[in-house]
Amino acid sequence: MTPLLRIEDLRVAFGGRQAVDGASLEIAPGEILALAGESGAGKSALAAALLGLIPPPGRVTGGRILFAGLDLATLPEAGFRPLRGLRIATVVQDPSAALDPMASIGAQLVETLRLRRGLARGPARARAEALLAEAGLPEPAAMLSRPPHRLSGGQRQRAVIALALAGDPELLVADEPTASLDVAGRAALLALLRRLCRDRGMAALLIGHDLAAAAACADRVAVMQAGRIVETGPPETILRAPSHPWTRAMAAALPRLDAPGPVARAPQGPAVLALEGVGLSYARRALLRPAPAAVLQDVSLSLRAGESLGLVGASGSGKSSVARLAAGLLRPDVGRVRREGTVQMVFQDALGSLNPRMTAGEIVAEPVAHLRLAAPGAPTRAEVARLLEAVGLPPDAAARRPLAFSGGQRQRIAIARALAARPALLIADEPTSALDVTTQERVLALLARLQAERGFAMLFVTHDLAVARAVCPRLAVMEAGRVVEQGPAAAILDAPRSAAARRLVAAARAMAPA
Amino acid sequence: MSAGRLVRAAAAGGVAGLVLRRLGQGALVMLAAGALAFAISELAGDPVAAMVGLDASPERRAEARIALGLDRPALLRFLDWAGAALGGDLGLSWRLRIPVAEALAQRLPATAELVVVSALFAIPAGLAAGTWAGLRPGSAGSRGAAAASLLGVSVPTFVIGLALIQVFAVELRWLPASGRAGTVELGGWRSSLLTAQGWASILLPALTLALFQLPAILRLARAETAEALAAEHIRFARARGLPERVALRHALRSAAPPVIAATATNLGALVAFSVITETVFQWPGTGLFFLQSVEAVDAPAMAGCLVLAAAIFVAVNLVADLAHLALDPRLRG
Repeated sequence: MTPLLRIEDLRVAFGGRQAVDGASLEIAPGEILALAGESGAGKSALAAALLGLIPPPGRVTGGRILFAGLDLATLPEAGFRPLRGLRIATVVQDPSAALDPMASIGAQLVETLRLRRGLARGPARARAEALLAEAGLPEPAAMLSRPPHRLSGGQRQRAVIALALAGDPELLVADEPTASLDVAGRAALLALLRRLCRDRGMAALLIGHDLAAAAACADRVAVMQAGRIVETGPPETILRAPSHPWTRAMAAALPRLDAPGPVARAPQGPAVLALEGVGLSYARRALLRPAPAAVLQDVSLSLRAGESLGLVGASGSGKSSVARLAAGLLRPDVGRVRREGTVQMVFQDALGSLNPRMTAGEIVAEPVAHLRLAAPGAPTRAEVARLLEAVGLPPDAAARRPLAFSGGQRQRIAIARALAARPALLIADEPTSALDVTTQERVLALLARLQAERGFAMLFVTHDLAVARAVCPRLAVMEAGRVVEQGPAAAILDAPRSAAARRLVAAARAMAPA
Repeated sequence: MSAGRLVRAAAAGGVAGLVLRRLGQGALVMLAAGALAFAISELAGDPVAAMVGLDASPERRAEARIALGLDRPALLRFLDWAGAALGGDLGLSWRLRIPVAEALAQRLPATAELVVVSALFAIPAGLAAGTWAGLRPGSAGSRGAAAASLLGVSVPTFVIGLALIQVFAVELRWLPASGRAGTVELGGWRSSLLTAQGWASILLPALTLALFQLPAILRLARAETAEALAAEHIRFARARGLPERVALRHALRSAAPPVIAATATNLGALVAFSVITETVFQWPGTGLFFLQSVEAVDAPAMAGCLVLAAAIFVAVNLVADLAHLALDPRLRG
């Protein structure tokens, strides 16, 4: 069969940097090809080239992109217009940003259908509703009138998919479509994409840093590294018998549910954190506002010195609220929160948690200087250097600002800053969910090593059971603002008792390397 | 009740709540401004001396104090004053010997017309130039506009006014340098917009105020347009093959609310404080009246100006909030 899309020796450069450096691949009609690789491997630049939407100063500097008898690599802007949306459609990474916040979902769909498919208003509305239903949104008729901010993250991504399907494309390019979703949401969305491709005979280029997720729903997997496709093959082969050393490293880095987790040390000393029957709602006294539902109800948890507890649950289950309560950023409406010693936090968005105008050295020096934690006589500078070294950053890191670092390195700076305050308790809220798997593995290993060396307790918040399993001997499972199950990680994974835990385990297994 | 109707009902409750909150905050601002105005009228000048003269006997002064009600507690006097102000009675101007409310009502049309005419120059020009520059942020024209507007923001109003007078009144002798001539009384509103002479006298001060507003509007419109155009949803609209003009429409819709809010608030500030421009051009509006009242230590008039300014600020901000609410669905809950 002739391929639908054939990329030959493609090169895309941003100024002097070669983002895509001689990549070649093929997609057959109706085939789902997963393009996996670390952040910065050139996946997004390759996808943007397919639509002629490489952000400046980037441009195609060589190679061919053969699609529908055209070479997209040399196609002028006007030539792309009949293709965009109608033959090649795209689903972008961040569904919250991809929808116009000022217009309802229906208005955006109807506009696209009228302008691109030439439908009249009435038929366009009917088609919009059908597309929302096809994308798996509940109550599609009601969804039409809703502005994007009234949809959940998963619903927004489905609305984006409906918009992409509006032109009945032959090829769907999805760039990290599940990045903003939790594990259960990811599995559901990938299943939806797979079903849509099968039903419509649509091909898809599925881009992601998650090798396991790619393998779970693709017909073939292509692995990209440093701008080139280094390996292509069926998912089982890529996961079980990868030939390229880089793929082997990536496959090995996947957190595994069946891996032996850390051994629980006998908890020593006093509790550093205790939540007793905590309840919380974000209600504020206000006129004419309906009383909001409770965010947390009757949550009780405790952590002893040196212990680590994994707090797991789906999006919206209340994990982050518990983390903020534990850190003292929120006060409970009911119940008590007791803390012993210093508490520090590491956030999911490392870049957002670091002041972009300060150097890494200044960021780490701040708690050292203000909390007067450096040993008397020892200059702050020496303490900062020790901390940066402890988190595995090069000695020259102190002089650079956050934007000059990679995602994993930024998270290391955030960890160094937290350690600077010599915490008794470290709260890590999804610290690795924005990172690719190999970086994630290194950061998790770093946290485990630092904890063993320094003996702080850790409350590790994540939606990913496999990640929690890799660092925490004990888990607490949350659902709808309650802790529904607590116990040793192995026991919960082998025999989950609550429905929420069973769902999380099933979702993790569906996404896990088989 | 269907889910859709429920959502709409909840949103409606949110809007009503927001409007009520804003009205409540407006009332608090007015109360604070009123207290400040009252405090000024208490501290500025000595009404007893003004009434009986500086060399009056202590007995005479005490009688005057009682006659003026100054022996009563300050809080009671404030409540009396606030109650009268609510009814439109801002007291008697010491300088003009007429009610302050009447003096302000005579001068408000001059200021209102000045501000409206200046806005008719500044807002369309600022929005057009700012949007144009925002659509091509890297171009030489756009950078030039940004640099020129930075200069414009930095030049004080009186410099602009004096420069315009020098060129158009002194050198070219096209327009009068000051005053408000050619007014026509129309149902209690003295307008200068109905005669050629009136337009000639309003042009220079209006242009001065316009040049003061324009750079700020331009800069904001440029920044908001450029930011909206870089948004991911514009990229997604292009990826769906939507024509460029439609993508721009989406971008401008996002850019509009902050520009409208800032421009409206700015207009309120002009109505309240076109003091410098009115002084330079001897324009008989509320700004000039305020300055004259300060010079004459006319406490009731100063207090009246302050209350009027606060009322205009509150009203304009409420209108700007409602406009923002109408434009941006995210605020409707």
